[in-house]
Amino acid sequence: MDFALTDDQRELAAAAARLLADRYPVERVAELADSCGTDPGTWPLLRRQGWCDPELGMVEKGLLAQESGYALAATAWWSTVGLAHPVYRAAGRGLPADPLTLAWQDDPAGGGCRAARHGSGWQLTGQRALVTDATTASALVVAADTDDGIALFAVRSPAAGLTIEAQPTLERLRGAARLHLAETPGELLVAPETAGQVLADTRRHAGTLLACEAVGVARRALDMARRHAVDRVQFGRPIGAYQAVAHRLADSYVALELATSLALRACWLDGTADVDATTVEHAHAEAVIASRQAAVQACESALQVTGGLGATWEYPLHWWYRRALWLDSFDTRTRTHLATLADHLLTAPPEPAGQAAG
Amino acid sequence: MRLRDTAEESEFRARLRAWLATHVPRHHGGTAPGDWTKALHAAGYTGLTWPAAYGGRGLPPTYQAIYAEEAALAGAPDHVNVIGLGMVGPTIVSHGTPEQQRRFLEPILSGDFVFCQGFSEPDAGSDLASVRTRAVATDDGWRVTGEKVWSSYAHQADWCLLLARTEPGSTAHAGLTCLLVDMRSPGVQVLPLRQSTGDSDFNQIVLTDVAVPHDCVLGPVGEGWRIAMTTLAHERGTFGITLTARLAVEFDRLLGTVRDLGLADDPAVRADVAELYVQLQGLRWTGQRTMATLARTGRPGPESSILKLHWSVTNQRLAALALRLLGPAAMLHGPDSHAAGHWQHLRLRSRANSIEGGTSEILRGIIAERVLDLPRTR
Repeated sequence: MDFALTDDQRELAAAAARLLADRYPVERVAELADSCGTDPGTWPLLRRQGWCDPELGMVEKGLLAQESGYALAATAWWSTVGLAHPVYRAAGRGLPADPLTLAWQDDPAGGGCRAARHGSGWQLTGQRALVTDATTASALVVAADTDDGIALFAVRSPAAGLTIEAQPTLERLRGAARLHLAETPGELLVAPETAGQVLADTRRHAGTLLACEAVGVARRALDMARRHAVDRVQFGRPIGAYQAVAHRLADSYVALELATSLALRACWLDGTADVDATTVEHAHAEAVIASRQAAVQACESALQVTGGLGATWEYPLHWWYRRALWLDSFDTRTRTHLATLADHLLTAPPEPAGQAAG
Repeated sequence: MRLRDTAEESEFRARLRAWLATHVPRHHGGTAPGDWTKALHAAGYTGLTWPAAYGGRGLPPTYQAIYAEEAALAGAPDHVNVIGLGMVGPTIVSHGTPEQQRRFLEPILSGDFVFCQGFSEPDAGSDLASVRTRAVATDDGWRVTGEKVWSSYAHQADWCLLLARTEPGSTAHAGLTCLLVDMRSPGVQVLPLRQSTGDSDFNQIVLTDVAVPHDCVLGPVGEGWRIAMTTLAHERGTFGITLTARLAVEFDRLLGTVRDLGLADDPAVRADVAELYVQLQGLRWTGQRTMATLARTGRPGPESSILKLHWSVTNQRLAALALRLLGPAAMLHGPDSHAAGHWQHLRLRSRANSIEGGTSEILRGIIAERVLDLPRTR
């Protein structure tokens, strides 16, 4: 048992933090968010620093996700590496160099997307919603129904019959878009026999990285609150010297550390070959539940501690809070994750407590 | 990073598990507490992390964690010399004279010297530095008078690690000294403290002109605060793992209660149980991170400060949930009640969890000042 980062892993995280701090000072984050902007200029830098290397381990990716959340980096890295690359890998394809994303969610109003054979290829028609980083992606992986079940296709962007319509969102740096496809040409990546499993595995992989991102968001919110608690003087003392303030931040720290442990563990299990699938699934659920709670709690405590300042548009904390709320709601609901764990705990025979290998 | 046992750790775990299966006493009241310690020592399970030069096995802290997990799983009794092995022994290794090391360490390992700790006083609880027990210099050493409270195992102890004020008129952290007090000395009186559960796990120690020879001063005179802090730091090392391992056993018992009461399909109960499990898992794996930092750097990392704090919160939450599950039957107590009153007892006992070993308020203050670098809150 050795739950410690290696020196290489520490250096990777430190280098990522330096790059992002340089690229995304807080004024830049606010400016990009304010204008719902994207920042394609960072992409080549990330590639050069190895963020998209195919041999990058899952713990390493988790550390990069943490730093991305801390910096609130306006890049398509998570959509590309978290959501799209696993599908390309499952398909046995090489990884494209440009930003990518995955479109699988239905519009709440209904819709869906179908694929039909057209000559030697396929055409996709319908809609997909809540697609992240859609406007910067050079190709979209789209889940579409075929006569044999769901399959995964690569769609170039731009393409004939493809319209990308931005959906207004609370969180502005990752964005959401609705895709309209009308006989749009698509290339089959994963056939129906395995597409369901590949999609489930991909969502879990991406969700584990989001748990790490949430840890980064929580750490940044706690840092902002801590700095304010030291600088802000009321009644002749820094407010951090009052227990009501200090203890609230100590509780944020507790939640942050618990989430850090569970998120890193979920990464390690996801990236280790001979771990059974249920262990990976449960560790993922635990990490998502704990990290969502830590991010929201840290942001809300920071909003309380930063007082009137934190309630303004100019003070940038709300951009991290918006990301925390996005993380709290994206994809599988917390109650579904809790139900997964309850099924495991109360239906199966109890897991031996204290069993360190589990 | 490797989140499972190595081949050596697996083998150690398997052997320990087999040994515990045949050696854990069936009824805890049945054997003398010292016998369990002696059995552990004979089998080589005391002093796992102590340096080999002092009679230990020189193993990394992960092995102590494995012991904690397996002992909790097997329902092994509390080690009567947990204070000697976990706290006093390592302090003597760091600060004792060679003569003290020869005299005390081997008997601590074998269970021949059971230790208790005399730190807290009626007027020195969270504010430990305000201890008033005074030691007056004599020709042969020191004469100690005062009162200590909340001392576990004092009624069974042979020796006590005592914090006393040796410099008349000194205040706070200065002028304190750590003394090794023979509990059979004239003038030592041990009185049980009765807790709200009705149990007596702790004692009051009254000292009246107790003679302590020079060779029983641990560390330099006047440096007692620093020595006492070393002792408490050892408590933080692996104790979090022990607490979490016991909590995991209580959690499994809770699952049994949920099933027994036919509540396994109740959606609200399922959500509560799953949320509690996430807290338990968070504690368990943060404990493992602490262990890795300890193995790597020799001291627990900042994340270790959350373990005791969050353990108490989670144990209290578990006890409250268990009693709620019982419904009106929760008001019953005694042998005929569900699980022989286990949950009623835990509910009462758990409220002291956020007091003993550092109150939650003190622990949050430590996190705020030492980890978050906030200004002093007092």
